[in-house]
Amino acid sequence: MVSLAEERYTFSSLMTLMIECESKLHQYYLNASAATSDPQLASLFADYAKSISRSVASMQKARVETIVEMALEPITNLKLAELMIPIDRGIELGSTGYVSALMTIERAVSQLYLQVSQKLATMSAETGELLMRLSRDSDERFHILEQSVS
Amino acid sequence: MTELSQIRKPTLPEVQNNYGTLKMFVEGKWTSSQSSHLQPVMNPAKDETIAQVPFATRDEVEKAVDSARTAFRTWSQMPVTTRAGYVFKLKQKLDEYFEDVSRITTQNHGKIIDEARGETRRLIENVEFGCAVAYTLAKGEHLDQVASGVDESLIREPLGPFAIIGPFNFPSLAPFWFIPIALAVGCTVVVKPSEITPLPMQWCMKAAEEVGIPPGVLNLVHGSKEVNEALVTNRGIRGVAFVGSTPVAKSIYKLAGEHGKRAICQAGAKNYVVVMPDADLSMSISALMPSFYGNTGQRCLSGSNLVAVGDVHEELTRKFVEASSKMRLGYGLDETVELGPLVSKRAQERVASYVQKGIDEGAKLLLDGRNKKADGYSDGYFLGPTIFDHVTPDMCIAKEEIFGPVASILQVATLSEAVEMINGKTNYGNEACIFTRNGKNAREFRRTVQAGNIGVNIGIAAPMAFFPFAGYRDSFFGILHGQSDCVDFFTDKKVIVTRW
Repeated sequence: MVSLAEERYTFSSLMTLMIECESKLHQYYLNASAATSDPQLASLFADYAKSISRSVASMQKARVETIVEMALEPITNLKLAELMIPIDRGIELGSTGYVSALMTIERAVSQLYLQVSQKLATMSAETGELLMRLSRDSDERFHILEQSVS
Repeated sequence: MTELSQIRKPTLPEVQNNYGTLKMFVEGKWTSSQSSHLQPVMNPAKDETIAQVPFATRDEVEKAVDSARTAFRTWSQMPVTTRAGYVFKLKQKLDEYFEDVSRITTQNHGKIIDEARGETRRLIENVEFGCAVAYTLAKGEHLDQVASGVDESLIREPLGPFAIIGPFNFPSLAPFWFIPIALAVGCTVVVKPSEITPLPMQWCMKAAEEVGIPPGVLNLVHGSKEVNEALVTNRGIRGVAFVGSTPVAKSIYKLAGEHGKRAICQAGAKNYVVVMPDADLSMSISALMPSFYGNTGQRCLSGSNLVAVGDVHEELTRKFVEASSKMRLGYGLDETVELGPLVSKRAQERVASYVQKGIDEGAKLLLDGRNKKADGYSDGYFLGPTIFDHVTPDMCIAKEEIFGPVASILQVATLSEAVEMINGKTNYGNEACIFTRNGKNAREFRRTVQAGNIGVNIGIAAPMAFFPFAGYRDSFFGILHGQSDCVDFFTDKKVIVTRW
């Protein structure tokens, strides 16, 4: 669980947080893929892990190379703690076999990226767009997971 | 429970702890200086020596200029596509070195890593612009039939070797306003970075070496005032581009003139930021943070005087002080840090003396950064955000360039009064910004204010590579400005009238 008493970030510190989140998600899908007895789900999770791994690399590149230096304002008024709670809780529980846990995580991840993308748009348009896309990717995974249980 | 500190990465590693005695780059080779005059290069966050910079001897400067002169003969005759190819390769190599150059900038200058990365990104944009210049702006003109059977053409010819003298505050970017364009149009260069922050340029030169730019086309020497003078007065140098303080800019411009050299001298500033009563205060306050404190206030586009128009004063002041007081000081390689140290002990003392001067002049000190500490870096040259209220335009703190994170709040009744103050109470004219939601105010401001770079709802009006870096009055000496005007600066025009 995350405790973010004062939510105040620089561009890099915020991106590091996002990268950390995406990396955990990557690891979670890898574990889920290995743990599930359903071969279809195993394949789906492995694909997701691969695609998320590419996203991590894109985020790392964006963190370093896309800053508009004159717009480096302190980043405040974000409420990420409440979004990080279900992500961290879901991941720490290690409930790799449960699609519903993944759905909860993906819902939070999508909102997290959406919120941050809007904040970062003026500092780094590329990063804003990237996070927007990752938010949509997360939504898509959520819907596919949802279909898999119905 | 995971605390934020566990999620955050630790402080980023330094590229090297120590860089030894710096070498110079002449005729495509790294050479040790014979000079006995060495100066320590510091990490200002730690008060730690990280290198020694030698001050080149007169003979060494002469040799660097000779190298540039010799190389000019072949470089200027090289097909434009070949020259542009080298500039393209330089861009690619700088991309590879991106993170190294950025971290070294933070280590040597003190600015936070995001600012350093932003500087390096902008440097590379200038190299990209240089690539484009070779094929576009460097082209000539032609008009058929200017008289019966007569055609007229204009071609541009590269002028020769140029000296580029950089400032400490943007140690890699500022020289790169000029270098790519000089190379693209066929000129050669001797660059001399600031002796306080020579390391980032050293790394950029390593990139130039690795892409195989022919020997002598790009040379690096180190030093201070004497080296500047030796370069400017050298017969082999055709022009000089300088970025730094107004007194030095004036002296270099004068010296260049006396020796028949072209000169672009970009100088100091005292920038006003005007906030109108109709401004979006939340957006304005966010933009004021990087304006007044970005680069720890050490930039010629930093906000310095905050002008509150009408009844916005009270709320603006309260919110500005509140936001400023929250800034976290520290070593810029820690990603969570928002404000780095000043570049040197001397700079720290100088800025602190201005704070004392403000108190002595009767301004009201609302936020005193002199005692603000950076956790774990007690020896660093830190000075936190400092805000004075009740400042009058005749006070020293309102007129002189402080070059630190110090804001002076002035109050006026109308926009006209604000513009009159900006135009009449300072000799500088680098930048002026306005925050307003009223288009008429914005238009009046941009049309009447005497400054070269104007921000409307922008706190740092920094021109991109494809616009000139402007500047009025004592902020700029010359007629051609940095970046896009450099094509004219580095070339001579030849008009050919033809009849066959």
